[in-house]
Amino acid sequence: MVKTYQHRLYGVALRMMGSWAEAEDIAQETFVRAHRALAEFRGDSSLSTWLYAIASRLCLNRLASAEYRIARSRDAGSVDDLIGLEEEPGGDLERTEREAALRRAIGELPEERRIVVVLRDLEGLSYEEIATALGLELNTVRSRLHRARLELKDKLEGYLA
Amino acid sequence: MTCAENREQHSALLDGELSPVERARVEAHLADCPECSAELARLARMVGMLHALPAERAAPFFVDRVLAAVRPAPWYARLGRRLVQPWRVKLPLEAAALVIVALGAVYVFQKTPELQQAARYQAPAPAPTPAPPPPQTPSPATPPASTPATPPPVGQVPAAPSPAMSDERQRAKTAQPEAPARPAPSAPAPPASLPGGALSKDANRAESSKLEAPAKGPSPSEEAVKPQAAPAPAAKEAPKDKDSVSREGERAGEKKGDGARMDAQAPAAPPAQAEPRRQRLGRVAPAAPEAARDFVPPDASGRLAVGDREAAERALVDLRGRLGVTEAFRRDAGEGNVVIEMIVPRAALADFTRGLDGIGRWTWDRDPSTLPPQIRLHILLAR
Repeated sequence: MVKTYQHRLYGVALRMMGSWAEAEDIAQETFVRAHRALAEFRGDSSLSTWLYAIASRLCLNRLASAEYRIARSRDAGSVDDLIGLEEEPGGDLERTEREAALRRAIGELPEERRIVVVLRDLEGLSYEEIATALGLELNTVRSRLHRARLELKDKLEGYLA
Repeated sequence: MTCAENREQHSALLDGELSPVERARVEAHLADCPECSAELARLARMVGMLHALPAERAAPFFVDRVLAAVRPAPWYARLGRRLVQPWRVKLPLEAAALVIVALGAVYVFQKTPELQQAARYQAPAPAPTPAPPPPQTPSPATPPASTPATPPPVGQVPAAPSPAMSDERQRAKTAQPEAPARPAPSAPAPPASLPGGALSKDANRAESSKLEAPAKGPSPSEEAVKPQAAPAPAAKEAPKDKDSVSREGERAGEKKGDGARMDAQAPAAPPAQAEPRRQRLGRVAPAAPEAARDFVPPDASGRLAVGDREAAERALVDLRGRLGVTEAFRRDAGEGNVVIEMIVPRAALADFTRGLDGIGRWTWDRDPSTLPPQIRLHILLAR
């Protein structure tokens, strides 16, 4: 289970938290909790949706905690660390810039929209799976996803021409 | 259907989440409305950009760490941890152990006249040589490092210094004028009569202790070789930026020992000799079982994607040699990949990662949040 899902859960946590250390912490905590609660897993959803649900809840709880908010306001550079612009050996600077801008824009989305975009567009979950993982109505998922994409489109207008 | 209503459905249309009826209505509007069509095209491009973002990868030893966190420790480990982990218990225990060891050492020393004698006459008397007088005499505030272990008997003030004492004094004297000669290689070399045996012995000791623990930072014996560092800490720090990077790399067990560096006339060890030494280092370093080391998270880690693994290995060896980086251990990561642990001096980290970029496509998995003097960097070398 850990080998299969490590990169996906780490990716979700990284996009949500904006720091490698936090992402690794969240991903590890996800597996530890899943291991403890494996007997309670009823199979109503797929194992991956269940893991995404745990990881998403952990991320949103951590982001909402007062402790985290204070730490983030003190160290405002963590998201910027993640999206640092680095030229690749291949020299595809334009693509690197575009990706950095996209990562930055995702990091600036409100958290409840960011998680929907991450699960849908980066992890490829269906609307139903997202609704199950986040405990939301289908229409809420649809609406949040559309709002998030419009916000991203406005921020990345320069790269869409 | 208005344009606003139509655009609300664009995301669902792109994801194929509309019912056939809704889809028909939206597409009918798009056929007549070029603005909405253009808007949909821009949204589709943006979604395409999102889908094209490369996937993130967890650190190489993430699975091991998770498994270690999930598996409960055995009862004896938990008991041991409970006994020694609280600082209020552990610290007094450690302090008491230290005191007991120190008292024992003093007791043994006092009860063994052979040891005292050996300490007093530890070095054979050197032949008196016409050494130039040192520029300054050692001040009483800075006694030579070797004297505390061999205090002269109380009341014994030698009118004419014994051969052993003169040896110690001479060593103390020569250590002081040598102090400025270390950071500046152009300074005059120590006199020929300098007790080179003693100094190179210290150097060898420092070297061997580094071989045993290359990643532990400066060893006590290495500190003992540098008595000049204590009175002028600023002077010690200043040259660390540029020149001492390569010098530190050499000290980390690569090419030259301290003794070789002190002798300006001694030829530098050729790279062909240095390489086996590095290999020796690599073999000595993983003293702990490899499985146990896996659970120790590195200071930083990343992935080096290369086309030709053998060429990359050669380039890595060359890069390591240039920057004073040592390879601590390596393990097979499956699928032809390998994880290498490098010990990178802090000052060389930027150059080293630039060099990795030149070898292949280097991506950080875990950034070095704290920077110890010797950074343990895990590199996943993959095709």
